[in-house]
Amino acid sequence: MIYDVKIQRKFLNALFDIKGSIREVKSYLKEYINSLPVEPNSYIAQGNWKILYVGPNHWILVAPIDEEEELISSLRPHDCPASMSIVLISDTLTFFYIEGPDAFDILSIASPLNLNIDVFTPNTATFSEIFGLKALTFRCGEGFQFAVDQSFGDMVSNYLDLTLAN
Amino acid sequence: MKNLNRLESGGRIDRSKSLSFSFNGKLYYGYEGDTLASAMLANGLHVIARSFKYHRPRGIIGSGVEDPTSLIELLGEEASGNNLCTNVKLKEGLKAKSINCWPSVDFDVGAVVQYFAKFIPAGFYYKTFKWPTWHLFEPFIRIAAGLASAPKEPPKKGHFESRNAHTDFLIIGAGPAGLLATLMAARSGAKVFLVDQNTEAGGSLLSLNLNINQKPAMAWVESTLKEIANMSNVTHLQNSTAWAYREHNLVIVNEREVENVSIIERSWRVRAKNIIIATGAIERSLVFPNNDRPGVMLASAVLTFVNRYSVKPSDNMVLFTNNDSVYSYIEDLKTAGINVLAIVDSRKHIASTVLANAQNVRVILNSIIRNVNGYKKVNSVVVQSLVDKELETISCDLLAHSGGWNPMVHLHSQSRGTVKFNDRIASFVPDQSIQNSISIGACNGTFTLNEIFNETKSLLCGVSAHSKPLVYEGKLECSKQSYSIEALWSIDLSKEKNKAFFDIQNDVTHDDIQLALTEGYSNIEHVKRYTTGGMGFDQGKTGNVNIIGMVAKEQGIGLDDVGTTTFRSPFVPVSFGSISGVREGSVVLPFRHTPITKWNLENGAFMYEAGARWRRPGYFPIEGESFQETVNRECHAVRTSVGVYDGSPLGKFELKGENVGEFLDLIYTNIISSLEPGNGRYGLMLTDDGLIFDDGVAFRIDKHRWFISTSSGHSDAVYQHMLKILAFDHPEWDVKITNITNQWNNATICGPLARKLLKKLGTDIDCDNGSFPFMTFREGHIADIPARIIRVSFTGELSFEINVSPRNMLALWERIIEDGAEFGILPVGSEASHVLRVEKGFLSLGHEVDGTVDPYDLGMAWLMSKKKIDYIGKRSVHLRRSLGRSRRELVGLLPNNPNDAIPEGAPITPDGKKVATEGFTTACVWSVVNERWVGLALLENGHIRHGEEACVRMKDKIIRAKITKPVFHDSDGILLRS
Amino acid sequence: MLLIHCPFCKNRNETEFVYGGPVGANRPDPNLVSDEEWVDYLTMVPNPMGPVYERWWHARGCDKWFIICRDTVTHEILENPSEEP
Repeated sequence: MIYDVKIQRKFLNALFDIKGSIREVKSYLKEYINSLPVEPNSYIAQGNWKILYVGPNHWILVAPIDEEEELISSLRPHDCPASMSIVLISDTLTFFYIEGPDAFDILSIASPLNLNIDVFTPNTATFSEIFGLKALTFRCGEGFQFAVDQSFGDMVSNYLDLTLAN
Repeated sequence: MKNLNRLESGGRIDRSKSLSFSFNGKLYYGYEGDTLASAMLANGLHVIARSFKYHRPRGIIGSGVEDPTSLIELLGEEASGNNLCTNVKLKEGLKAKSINCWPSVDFDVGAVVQYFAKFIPAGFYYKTFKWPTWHLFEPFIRIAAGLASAPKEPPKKGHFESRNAHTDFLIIGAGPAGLLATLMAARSGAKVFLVDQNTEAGGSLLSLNLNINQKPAMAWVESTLKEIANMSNVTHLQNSTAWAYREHNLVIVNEREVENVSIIERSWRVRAKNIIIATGAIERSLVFPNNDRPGVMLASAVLTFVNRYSVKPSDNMVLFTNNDSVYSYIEDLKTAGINVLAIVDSRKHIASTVLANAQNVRVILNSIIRNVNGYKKVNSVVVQSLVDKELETISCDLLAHSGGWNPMVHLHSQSRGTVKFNDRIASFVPDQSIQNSISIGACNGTFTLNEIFNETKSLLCGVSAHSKPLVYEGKLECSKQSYSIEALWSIDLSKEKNKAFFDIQNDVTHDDIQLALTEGYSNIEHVKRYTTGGMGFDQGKTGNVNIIGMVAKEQGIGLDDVGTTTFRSPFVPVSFGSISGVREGSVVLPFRHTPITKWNLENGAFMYEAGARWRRPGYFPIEGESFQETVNRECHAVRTSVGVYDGSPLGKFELKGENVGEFLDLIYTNIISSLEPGNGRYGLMLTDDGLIFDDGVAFRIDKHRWFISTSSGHSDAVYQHMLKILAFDHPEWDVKITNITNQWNNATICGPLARKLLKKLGTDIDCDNGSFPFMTFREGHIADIPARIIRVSFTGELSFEINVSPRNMLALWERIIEDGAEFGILPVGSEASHVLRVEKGFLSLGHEVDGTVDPYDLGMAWLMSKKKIDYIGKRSVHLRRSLGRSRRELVGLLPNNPNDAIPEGAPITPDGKKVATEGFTTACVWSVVNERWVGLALLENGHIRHGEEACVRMKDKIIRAKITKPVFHDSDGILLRS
Repeated sequence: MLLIHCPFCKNRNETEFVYGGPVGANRPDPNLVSDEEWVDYLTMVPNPMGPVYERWWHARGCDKWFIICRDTVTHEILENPSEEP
């Protein structure tokens, strides 16, 4: 490994795609979400959940996979108002966690984003590219996490292997 | 290991580290800090290469990237072709060889070409395109063309890397101007990238013995480097060339010596708020007969080899110039023990302060070099007075010449900045900047050190990124220098028989340019292409301005009126590897997998790449079987018992909102909004110009929730299409779309025994036909796995598409295979699917859908709603049909001989005659249920020709077939509704 | 390698986007225009040597479609989409 990083592949998180007006989403989720992020491409951590604001009137809730059942009963994707959309998308994204002193280097190889801390803050979360594939990217601890379409997971693993190869 | 031509001391080489290298098989020695070129000169090598066209012997001319001639091929572990030996860092064990010569550079058979020079003037290649035919000449030109060979093996160790960077300041060039700019920018706290293509920083200060604040200039360089090395906001890259300046301040830099030895080269894509171009200037040559002989070198290169690399390239030297710069070299040349025999200066007068630098040297004013003698090495030069034309021959072993200095405006020009001709320095300087960049120093036409520092300070003071503005408080007092020049684009070459080269790289002579102008190619872009001047790997760095000058002179216009040719990237040759980075091997093209891929491979599947980068099984061969036998076996299973395939790659979307029904009615050709929850419908999508875009199935989940599926190949395109319509045509509609392509995987079981298998798997869903009809869906559990089952059929058989979460897909699949064993279940690949859908005449994008047919042609009139007053594509389809032209319509083909296979794409002509086609075969498969070949075709007026005979015209025969309805199995569609 | 300003995400690399063609006329009611007018709408698109309004989709980003004004000669982006309310 030519870079000092640890890479973990975390396959599954509970994910909910939420679309609706800020007012309506805040109101519908008020029992579960303390603070809804409204700054573009930012996220708010709540316990071990993250609520990401990734597009106009578009949020993604990330939670541990073992909370999926409960969240389905709480958020009721099948039952929310006509003007809101809540869709379970847990299986669509596979997560990678890159941590270590050289995490920034790995991300600057994989991503075209401006990753300098004043632009890509500890509260930034956004869709961009990882090795040319659409990916959700955010800082995590001392490193970064990104999530790509599940079907591209093996390809991204290959890319990381090639990047770190001796 | 004493080098033949090495000075005792001095230079920036490390004499404690001796390095061995080989050139053309012979062993030589140099030192750490040498380039291959400086080591070659130190070893007394003077013929390095043969010229591209005439195979004339060539030696080293420049000392850096401007050198037009000394390309060599690197062999061994670091093999790569076409490297400039002036730019190759000397390493232990380096192996190099000459190119474009055979059998050797010293004795090259190719040189015979020179005797046929008359027959291959400029424009030769271009004219072969016109007459008689390029193909006559192509084989010979291909052998002669090209330089080094490409390595045959990939590098044994290491890989290439490509990365992105964002910075406040990108400073290109670490000469005096660039270093001062770096100090100013770095001290302000801004993020700074400094890149320099040389092996070490200092630029021209590495070769010139100048002083800054009464100390050697290199001391200032060293203290500057020390200061910035300690600043975390500075990234400093040496051996790194900025080779492309693209839009919005994106510059690409190639780092050739990466600290981490696992990385061969690293490409940086740097996006900078401010770019400071400090790329310096290149000396240009003078044009005179035989100015390409080994031993004719650029004067500044000679000085660089002496001062920087401690090489003594000559014992007796003559200099030829039209400007002041060479005079400041004399002291250093003499100190190196070189006998400076004369300075030939084309000018009439020179300032006395300049002349004072050349005391005790013979200065021949108002004169030029008329010829150079020596084939493989200079042995004398002929000087001619411009007054009385008197000739004088001077014996010497090196002629150092200087035609002036060209600011390196390449990157500025690539950024779309303009240049203008500056009479003071007789060259082009930056004029307007289009992007956020500033040129400073020699690349801006400022050539003396004091002026460079003052200019840098004044141009940069006050500039800021987002931190403090740039300042410099401090004095920088430098050695006095001066510069003046009188342009001399070439000496008078009228009636000159010897070759005088304007472009040494491509062997472009004075005659060639004359020829271009005579034939009317006077636009500088035409001159370039007609003569190939400036088209070599050096991109005319030392020669282009002379060409422009000559064209201007011949036409009696100014150089600004001639203009420059477009500057293009790369500035220097760049390896393909660094551009692609780690994108090689398995990741050259993207690939996607479903959870079944591993199972597929373990079960012998032959994998194909399907649409949108999915890897899907084509077929599952068994030992000893032919391809056709495998496909037949799979089809047989589906038609007589049960088969299973992985339909996971299908695009899937959830749509939610008040207006989804209207939206789907707009994008599909048929009415979708009338569906009740739980029901679905096959739908066809067109583009607004009436062409078939995609097909799929739309289901209604509840009042405001819908689910649509698309083909796997077009799911991204359909998503884009849907969002675009909502954004621009109907922003008032409430429709929210979520991509759930990978939220659901599906295993589709199909065949007469599919329901039996479903029941055996165990389900809480009532799957009898009455309770669960065709084109509906149900939610529940299969084999204890939560699932949504959809009754659709792509094969024409009874079929259940079992949708589950990808996390459960493998478990489901394995259960299906296990429980299905008693029914003889087989996994079905795309080859068998293709056969099955042809038997049913089902639509296949890419086969029948080729961009010219509309749904009516394909017999899909039932999908084209007459009720809807508008849907996307409706108007265009009707417009085309109203033109009254005959249409090619989908028909079935039954070859008269049931064992005749018709190749896909085979043309159909009237009576099989050699006339314009009336259609073509879109598919032909062996039908297991019919035990014969069956095909589909698009045929003019096909719908009314059922029963007639069609003739497929092959190269060597005609295949006759009966025209039928395009369906060969269960034409009433009873099975899939069962 | 354009730097494109998405109304939601601000400046992003060109590679995150998909080009959606120049902005021509709005889609007319297909039932109210003549054949010539319909074909013109489909095929006659602005193609100036200079500023043009064009559509871009932030495909590998926030999924938003928006319009910018770009100079086809200099690539300068003369007008950015307005901020999202």
